[in-house]
Amino acid sequence: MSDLILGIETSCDETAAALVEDGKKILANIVTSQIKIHQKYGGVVPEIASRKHLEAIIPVIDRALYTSQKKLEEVSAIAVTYGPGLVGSLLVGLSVAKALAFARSIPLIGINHLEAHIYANFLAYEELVPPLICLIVSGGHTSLVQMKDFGEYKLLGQTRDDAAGEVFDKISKVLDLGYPGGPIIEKLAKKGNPLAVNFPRPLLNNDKSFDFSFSGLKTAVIYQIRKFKEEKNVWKVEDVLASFQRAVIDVLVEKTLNAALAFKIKKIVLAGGVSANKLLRKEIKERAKILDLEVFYPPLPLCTDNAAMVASAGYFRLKDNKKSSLNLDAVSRLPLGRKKY
Amino acid sequence: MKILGIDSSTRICSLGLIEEHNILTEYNINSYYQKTSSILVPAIKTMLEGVNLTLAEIDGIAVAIGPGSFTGLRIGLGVAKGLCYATTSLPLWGISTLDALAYSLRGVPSLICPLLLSTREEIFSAVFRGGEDSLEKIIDYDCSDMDTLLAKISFLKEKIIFIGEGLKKYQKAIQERLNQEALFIDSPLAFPRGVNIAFLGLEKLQKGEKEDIHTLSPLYLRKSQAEMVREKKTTEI
Ligand SMILES: [Zn+2]
Repeated sequence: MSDLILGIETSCDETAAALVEDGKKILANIVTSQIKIHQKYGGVVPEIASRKHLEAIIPVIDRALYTSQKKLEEVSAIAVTYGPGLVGSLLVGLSVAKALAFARSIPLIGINHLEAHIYANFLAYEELVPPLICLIVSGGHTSLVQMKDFGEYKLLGQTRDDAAGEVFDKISKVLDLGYPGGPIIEKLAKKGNPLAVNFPRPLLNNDKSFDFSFSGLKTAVIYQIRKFKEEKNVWKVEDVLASFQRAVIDVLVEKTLNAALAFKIKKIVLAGGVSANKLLRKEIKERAKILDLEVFYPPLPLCTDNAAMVASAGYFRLKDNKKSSLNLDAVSRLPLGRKKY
Repeated sequence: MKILGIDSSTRICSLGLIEEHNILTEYNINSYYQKTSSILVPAIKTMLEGVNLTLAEIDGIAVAIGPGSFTGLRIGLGVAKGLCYATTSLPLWGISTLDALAYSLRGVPSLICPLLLSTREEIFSAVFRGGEDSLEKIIDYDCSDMDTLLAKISFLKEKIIFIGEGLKKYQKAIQERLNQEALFIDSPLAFPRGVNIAFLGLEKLQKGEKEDIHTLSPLYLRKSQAEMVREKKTTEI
């Protein structure tokens, strides 16, 4: 008999529900984004996000069941993101998930959002199995994780300050380009010269750690923008953006490849919103090929936050017989794997 | 008719299960020791088990929609929506926490002013006229500072009973300001109780009312900080 998992995701500004069969087959993957609302504020406003989640959650679950032509009675378990993320947002999805699991007397499975992002790759590649080096990079996180086996993770490094996607958002805000910054900057950067400004590559040279740091780069870019504006130079915003994007990608690619070589792991997976960046994908794939490494990344709809990845992770957890208790609480800074400091 | 009442708008998470005019069981837990999000669903489970009932044997759920703690309300509404969605025939009613507070004084022929402390210097309030068998709201729900509220009340010139937790700090200010007799009920029982929510739900059931679980939202009475700041900016320009 097959296992049908209902996944629920509300960790940031996307309300999502999905039905996935046996961890691999997506029957429905519904995502409603609040981007338009938060655009006015240049970033996600937690209180507004929580309000919108509560309005959207039941309609989204309802649509997922309708789309998949399934009934709640056929669902074998509820998988839900319980961290990391905005605690008020997480609580909406978690509260509904717990109520559904209790009312139907089926298992509740709490899923780490970062772990879920990795599973987007298992949904996309039938044959993919650990061990893997995973780069999870989005507006909320920049983490390098070694996945030894299903459910077994070691955090190799993470950002010490801003997440990579967050820097894209902030620079976009400074230039009044809009939110989210990633896709906008990527588009403009195409028309610019990536060698125009030599921005710093933080923690790249003489640093053996797998940590990231982007706030220094952010400051340098913002300083450059101001300087250009003041000097009234003939400058192209595209050049600055292309150079900035280049610097971020250089760091991400280099650290990820180094991790694969250091731990002798042949397969690399990308996950999270920033992994939708085409230049990042191209760059890492080309350089990995030279080193005889293989790179995987999910199709675009599975890069950004969604619940199919949560359901998939939930399936593997269920197979491992690991269920959560009904008193599971949301954890805004939930770590994946252990880290020394 | 058995109704489950849920309130998680204050730090006391309160549940009640009633059958017609009887309380079957009541469950109050102070979230001081365990967070509301952790205790709510297990508490519902324990409570139902205590009276040997299953969710399927309940006729409806009444849930507090506020005013109160935004996060607390969303936890309660999320759970209530989930329970009703999973048990398709189960109707859901949204009940104001101020109605539930005033309900504790049902039958007292006087003006009744339930108060709930908000996070800042503001308070949530409403004024009801209590009758022998009724509670009529005569001043609508509001979120304001105490001065604004007292200005609204002072012209009523009738005896008024304030009910709510943590009133002590306002008692003197209220008495000095009002030209009418004011009584204070600041007891550990003056919070929106789950059983009151359930009784008010039963009233809605008897009137044939039912909420749409898709759209039911908390009674916030206040915009988010970001919205207020943004509106202030746009009006200044
Ligand atoms: Zn994410």
